Amino acid sequence: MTEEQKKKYPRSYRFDVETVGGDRVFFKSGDDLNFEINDKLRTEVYKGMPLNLSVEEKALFIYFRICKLLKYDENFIYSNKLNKNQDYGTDFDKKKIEEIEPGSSIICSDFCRIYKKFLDELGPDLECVAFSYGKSNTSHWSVGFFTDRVSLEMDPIDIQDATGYSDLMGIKNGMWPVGIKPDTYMTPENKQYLVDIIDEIYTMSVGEVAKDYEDFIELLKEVPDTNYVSNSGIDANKQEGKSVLYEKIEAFKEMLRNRGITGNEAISTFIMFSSRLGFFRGEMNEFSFAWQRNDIQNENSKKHERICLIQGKDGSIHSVNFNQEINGHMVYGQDELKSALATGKIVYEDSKYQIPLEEK
Amino acid sequence: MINIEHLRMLNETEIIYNKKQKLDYQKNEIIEKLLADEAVFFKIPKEDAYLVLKKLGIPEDQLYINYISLISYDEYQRLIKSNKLTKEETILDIDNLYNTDVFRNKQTKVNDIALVPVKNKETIYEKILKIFRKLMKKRINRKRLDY
Repeated sequence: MTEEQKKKYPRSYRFDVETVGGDRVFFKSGDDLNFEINDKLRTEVYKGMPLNLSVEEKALFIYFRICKLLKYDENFIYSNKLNKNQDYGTDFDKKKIEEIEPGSSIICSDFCRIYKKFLDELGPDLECVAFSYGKSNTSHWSVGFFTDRVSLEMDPIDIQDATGYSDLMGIKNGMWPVGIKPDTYMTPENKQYLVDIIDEIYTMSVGEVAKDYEDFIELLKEVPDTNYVSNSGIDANKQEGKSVLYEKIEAFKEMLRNRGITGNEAISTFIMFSSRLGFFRGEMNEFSFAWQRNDIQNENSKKHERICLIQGKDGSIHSVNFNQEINGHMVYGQDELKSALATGKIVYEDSKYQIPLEEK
Repeated sequence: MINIEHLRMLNETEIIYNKKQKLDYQKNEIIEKLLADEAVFFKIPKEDAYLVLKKLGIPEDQLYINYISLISYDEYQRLIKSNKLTKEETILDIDNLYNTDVFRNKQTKVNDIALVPVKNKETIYEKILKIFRKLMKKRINRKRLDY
């Protein structure tokens, strides 16, 4: 941005270190950005980008495309929590960042460094700044850019409270971008301009991947169907706790957790999976909903919790609490369930719908 | 009624399962790309849509009813209104699609219930009464003018 433009649009010049201050550390140049973008990544990012786009449009196109091509490194969170694996960190690693290609796993600082590197190539009409919210090697990173019309921050990694997803996840699934935060000082006209170009460029950048349906369908015809087995082997249905049904329920619970689905929504999703989508059909006999008394009482726990009782074809009965991660999935034998029903530990929600138990 | 989001959830669950069991999930990656387009079922023929549903493990007896949900009139309207689909992009015969028996009920329901609120409906008796009142008013006004 020229000095003249800065005078004309003073409010847009937001990412200047001197004017913003706070705990943020800004990266405009320097060793942290001294690397080359991987060639494969560069080719895929620019693939199909029209030449006549404005700088803002190009910047958005690149943002959407990087979100589409790269994925978040989940191991980073776990290792960070456990503080065991020292290989992970936000310290600059030239070799590692130059190896990032389509499909690679990244963390926030990698994304921001790469995005800034791409945007620095767009010329003097746009300035991009990467920044960390504190020390660069221990804090979360974000990125932003400004032009004479647009000034915004972008956070592709953090899950947005309002929507429950991040751009790195959402854009892969065709969801509306939520990590783009326009500067509050932008004029209404410029904000409208931004919304319009997001709409247009999003389809152009992300929609392109799903254009060649025939190719995908041909590929799909070639791949074999999944033959469900558990990691204990094909006969694992007989092994309590490791059956295909058990692991399918666990996978279903993980999907719910990933999407933040709980309560009634989780129940209705389970019903949909069981009936119309047939996900559990091969292994499940019956299911019913019940209330389970919580014997371990403390201030935070409820007295009764809603559970789903799922009877496997092998006769095992799974008691599943979709909201609970730990101890939220127990396997009962028929006698144990009978006993729990007799003592009132488990009470059916509707007595019409009960798990059929064998009479002795 | 299922929608594309349910299929995405199912695919995601399969990916989690297959990854844990160290099974191949290439199929799911292809499906993920297809489902990235919210309007995909309006852009591929029925046979291909069935293939996607079958590969997702949806039972044979549920294929038809699920497919109908995915290309329902409501879904078509939603995609058109949110600019995620244009009529030109669809390969389905939209003009005739919703005139088939399966969809006619749905459309009739929309027309009768959603577009014509029951409370505003006039009975024949009310209509006659209205016309009669109008005529009476005219006669009274004419009489007033005569004076």
